[in-house]
Amino acid sequence: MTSNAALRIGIDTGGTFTDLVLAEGEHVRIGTKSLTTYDDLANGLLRTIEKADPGDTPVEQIVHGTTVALNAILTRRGADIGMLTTHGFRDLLDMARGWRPFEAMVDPRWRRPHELRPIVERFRRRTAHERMMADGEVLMTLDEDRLLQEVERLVADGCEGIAVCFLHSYKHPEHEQRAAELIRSRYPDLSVSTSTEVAPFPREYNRFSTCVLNAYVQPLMDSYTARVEDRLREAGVSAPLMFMTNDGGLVTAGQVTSRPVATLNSGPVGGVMGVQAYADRLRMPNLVGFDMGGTSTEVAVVVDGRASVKRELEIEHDLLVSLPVVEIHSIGAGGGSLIAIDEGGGLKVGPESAGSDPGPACYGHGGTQPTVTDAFLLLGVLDAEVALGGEIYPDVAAAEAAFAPLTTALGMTTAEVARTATEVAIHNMAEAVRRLTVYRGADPREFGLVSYGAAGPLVASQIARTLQMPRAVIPALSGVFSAFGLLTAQAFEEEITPVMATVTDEVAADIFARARQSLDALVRQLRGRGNRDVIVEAWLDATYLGQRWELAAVIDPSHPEPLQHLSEAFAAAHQRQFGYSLPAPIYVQTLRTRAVSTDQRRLFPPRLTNSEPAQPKRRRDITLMGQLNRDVPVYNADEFAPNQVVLGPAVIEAQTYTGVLVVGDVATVNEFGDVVIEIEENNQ
Amino acid sequence: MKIYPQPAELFISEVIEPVDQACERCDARSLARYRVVDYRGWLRVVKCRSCLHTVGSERIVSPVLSGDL
Amino acid sequence: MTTLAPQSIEVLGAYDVEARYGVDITTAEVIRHALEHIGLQMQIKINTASLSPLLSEVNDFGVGLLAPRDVDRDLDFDAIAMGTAAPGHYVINQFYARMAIEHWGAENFKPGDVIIFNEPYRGGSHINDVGTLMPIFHEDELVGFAAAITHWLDIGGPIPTGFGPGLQRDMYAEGIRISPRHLYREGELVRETVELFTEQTRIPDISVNDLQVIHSALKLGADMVLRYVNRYGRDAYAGAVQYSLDHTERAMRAALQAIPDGEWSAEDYMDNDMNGNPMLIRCTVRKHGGEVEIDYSGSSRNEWGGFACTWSDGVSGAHLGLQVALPESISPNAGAYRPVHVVLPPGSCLHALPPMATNAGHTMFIAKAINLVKRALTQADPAMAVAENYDDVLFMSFAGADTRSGVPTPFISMNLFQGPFGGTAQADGSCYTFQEGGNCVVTSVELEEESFPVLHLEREFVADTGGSGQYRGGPATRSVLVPLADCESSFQLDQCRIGPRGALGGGNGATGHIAVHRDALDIWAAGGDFGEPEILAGIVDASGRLVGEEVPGVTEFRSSKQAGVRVGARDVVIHQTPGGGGCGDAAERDPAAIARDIRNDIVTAGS
Repeated sequence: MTSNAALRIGIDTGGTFTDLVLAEGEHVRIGTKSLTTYDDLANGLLRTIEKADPGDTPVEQIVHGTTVALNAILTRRGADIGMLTTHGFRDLLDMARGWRPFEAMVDPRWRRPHELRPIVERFRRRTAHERMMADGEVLMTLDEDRLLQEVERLVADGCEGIAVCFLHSYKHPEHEQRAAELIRSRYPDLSVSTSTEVAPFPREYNRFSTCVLNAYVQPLMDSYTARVEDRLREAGVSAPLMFMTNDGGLVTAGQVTSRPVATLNSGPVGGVMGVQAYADRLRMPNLVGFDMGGTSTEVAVVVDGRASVKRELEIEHDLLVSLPVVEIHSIGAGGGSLIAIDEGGGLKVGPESAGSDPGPACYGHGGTQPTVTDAFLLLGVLDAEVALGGEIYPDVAAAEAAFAPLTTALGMTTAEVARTATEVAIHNMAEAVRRLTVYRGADPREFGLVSYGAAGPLVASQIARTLQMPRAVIPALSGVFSAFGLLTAQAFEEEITPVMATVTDEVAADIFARARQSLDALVRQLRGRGNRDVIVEAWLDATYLGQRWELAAVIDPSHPEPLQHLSEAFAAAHQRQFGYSLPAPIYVQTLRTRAVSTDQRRLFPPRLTNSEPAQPKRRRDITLMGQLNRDVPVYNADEFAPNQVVLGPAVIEAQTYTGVLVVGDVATVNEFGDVVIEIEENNQ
Repeated sequence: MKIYPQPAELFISEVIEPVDQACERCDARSLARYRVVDYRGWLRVVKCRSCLHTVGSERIVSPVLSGDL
Repeated sequence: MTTLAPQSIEVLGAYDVEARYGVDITTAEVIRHALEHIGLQMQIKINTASLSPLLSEVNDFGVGLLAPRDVDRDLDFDAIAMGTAAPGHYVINQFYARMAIEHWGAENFKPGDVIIFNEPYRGGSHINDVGTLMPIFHEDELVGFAAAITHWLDIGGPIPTGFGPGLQRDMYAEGIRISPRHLYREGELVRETVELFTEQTRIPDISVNDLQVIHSALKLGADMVLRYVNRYGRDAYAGAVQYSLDHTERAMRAALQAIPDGEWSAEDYMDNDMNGNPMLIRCTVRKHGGEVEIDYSGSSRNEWGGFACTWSDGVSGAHLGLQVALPESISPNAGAYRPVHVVLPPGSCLHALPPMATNAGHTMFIAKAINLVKRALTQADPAMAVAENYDDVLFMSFAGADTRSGVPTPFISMNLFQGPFGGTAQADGSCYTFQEGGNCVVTSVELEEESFPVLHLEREFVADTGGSGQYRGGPATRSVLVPLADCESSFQLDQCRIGPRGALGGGNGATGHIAVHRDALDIWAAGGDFGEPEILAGIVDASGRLVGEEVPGVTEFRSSKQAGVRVGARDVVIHQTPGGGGCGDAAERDPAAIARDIRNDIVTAGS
């Protein structure tokens, strides 16, 4: 199915920019950025594709990452939906998990997000007379007439979708399946999501939240994908529209329409899959992915070549999607973070942000508060002569004016305040990295840092130094890295099997037998879709008996000693995550099996073709890590020759990013334009 | 650990011993000696009941341990 | 949040920071932020690996870091960072850890030591709350401690879980009491200490795991502190710590300055003591400038059967009440506690004297201590008004034998309930969350029904239970629980006698109660008529029917805190929390809000 001439497009629609990468076979031909057009996403997509100019060569596949559904949830612009749930549990969505977030820990005035801004308000939450027990015994049989009466009420009230959520359904789906069957046959135009179909895992609140969110964004994703596909067809692009899932898989537009919650976070996940691809190509199996954007910084880890996967995505406090997701830890620190004095008289950097409107003061759009971007500008890290993001010429005077109240209050110069603020920002971002490494018992000194996004390359070396990491990489396509990563998405087929049992010899043998059976079927299905090279994966979600937060462990279901292998695999996963294991019984919640296609997985940025090493095109003074560096050379990334060595301090300006090397950095630009920085003092 | 009888009184109040002196901060004649718990433990203080200024304070052992109720 | 005028604060410039603390402002700010992160990470470690649900989900613990001792810098092992688990445990290490260090002798610690203790009368709360301390050594200097206080699900003694209100007459009837001793001696786990838990509590396997988890959380904190000490030096670290405490003190004083000066009082009643009589609790808050004094004089004396709490608990409640009442969010390190004095006379129900039992009283009275300060201080300005929420730590335990697998296995199902908050000057009260002393994750019904032979059949809001007002209180939550084995039950609930009080003319929330329909599971499943329930807790008339208000001589109050209650298999237990109090005049309520409440069945039309 792959030919070297076929084109593939990865396209990531982000908050401010839409990034596109056009690849021909295994090589990227071009990467571009343009402003996201919110009022007409489909046309915006098409225009971005046209800008990349594929010409007459057929496009084989378009992999799309979009936050359309996520934004709809955040802004509460999803569909009108109703919820049908087990008798007695009408208020789970409002109650959620009960706890309060850190910032409201002792706040008696705090309101739960769902009670303030409901996805499904109480009058649209109806109960069905039904109740299963944990062992499958039916305590209350499903009252079908009553169910349909409730649905009729909801439809009459304007609902275009229904979420069906019953207790114990992940293990005993009969009542939910029957309810869905009745509703779909009576109301064929209604979109129906059942919690069993969407997320068949235990923990009712998590599963119901996921199902409700699915129903909430389903009509929207349906019309979005239809519109995009129509526009593409009209423009003569017949390539299938594919999406990346929350954990790096590849699904069709049809699959996205039935389970949109599986792709909510596809953009940022694209970036992490790109980091995973770099782990393979650069032979650096342990990497920290670091994406510094305008409002927030996202951090992820790749361990032994695999991105770390979590079991839930928290969109707002207690608003959950309980599906495997690439673990991304986000903190409110980015280029637009506001620098201010807090109520104790100390310096505060973020989490409030200037956003994109008005944006940093230096954007000249009316922002009056200083931000991290303004600090970088005034320290010389950003060039006062070069347009930010290729579009905006910085207003230095506005940036300086924004700092004036702070310099007066603190009795410091602008440069000193800027320096302190950027140090605090860098340390806060470093903490985000520690969260996924040090605090899990993993040593960042054994990891490399891949720093991308709009601002990641600016701080790559400084973050790595703060964490004593020996190596940092600025990838060639940093500014459009998520779109690059989207093209490494892998087609897969999966099955989820609830277990909910304490492990014995018999239970282990049974799990392994079921896993083998499942994998055979999945491989057949995947090959049937035209995929040639297929690998299989089997995961168990388990705990030590009595623990509450399950951990995923990889197993090999062909192993001849199931109990021993399972115990060792889980103990190793526990050791890695928590630093110890126990001689205690293991409780397995879920078996997850997958067949994954490994066709067409390698992707290289465009090769550098210059024969002469690049010379600095100009120089300027820059303050880095508290030191003023004079006459720092500035390079144009397009002019590098393969294997050129660049010593810090230096600035690298590329079309989609600006990168910085500090004193002591020894960087090699490889044949693909990736800047690999060795931090000598951490290289013992 | 010393043990104690249950108090005979049904309601318990701290004994506030008036101190005949003017407050050095606000000049009111409402100083008193009594016990408080601050962020590190027990104190016997002389405070102004009007402006809450602490004129003097002495670290003491907690009543349960000292036996000095 | 409120409309109080912001006050200008003293800002320390870079020069002043260097002069006062001997550290540059950047280092100081980096470490100040880092300390908060470290506390949170220590908490996450305990959450994720512990076997006890009280540590993994209920978050009933505190963990964090203590400063070095440095007389010149006025540092004395003060709490500099606390994880965000249970706010009720924020302050107490100022006393619990401090008194354990004093008892042990600060000079007697060695690298790799962990000491463990649980004596309530030495700055603690109740014996379930086990304290641990790990000294942090840099070269040979002690630069502080990592400290934890963790609630043990069972601590030995006659009552499973240790909560025996009315049954545990005095402290000798509670469980094991541990004076400070080694859990780890220079890095080695001390078997005899672990055996105290494995041989004397009902949870040996959980204990073995959780003691190690706590050790790994303490070690994480210690290692992180040492990173900063190694990078910046001991002196700079101490300077940054001093800076962090002063920073928080400034924030607290500024928040206090923003409120008018004055003196305000509040009164409340604990539903009942061991003999069924209500217990009066009083609080007077005096504030002047950036200083505040909280005085509990006039409260009932301590009572037998666990109806009392320690002074350290009372003081913790006072501090927390302050944090709760103030609109600002202030970091919970010791700097925030400097402007506060608490008057708490010995022999009060908030200052128990040995041999009084405090196991049950710990949760009951700290909740009242918090609520009284909140109700008093928020009188200072109408913009601060907040009506009463549900209080106490509501629980109902079922202990019995699980026969589902064929072999009878003892089980303890500990069920916590969350509930509504009171209306405020700005908005309706929250529908459902934990009272301010804690922050629990609600357990999953599905997982609970796998683990225990107890069914959780309902958990929904009840109409017409939130106190009326311009901004109403949150509704009561009604839960239905059915054990499938014969059980012994303990429960604690309050505000079954007087509903949570309104503020600024708002109405009280409905009272709470517990009822049971004996052997009625089949009726529930068929949707049939239960008939009159047996009221376990609440106000009843002569015929035993639940009523809303007490009438002396006519009604009887059935105690809302009991232990050793028999609940049979298939008995349907109904647990209803109180409703939140309302705020402001109901006549001022926005008609759109009323319409929404009616449409949502929170309020019945015409009520």
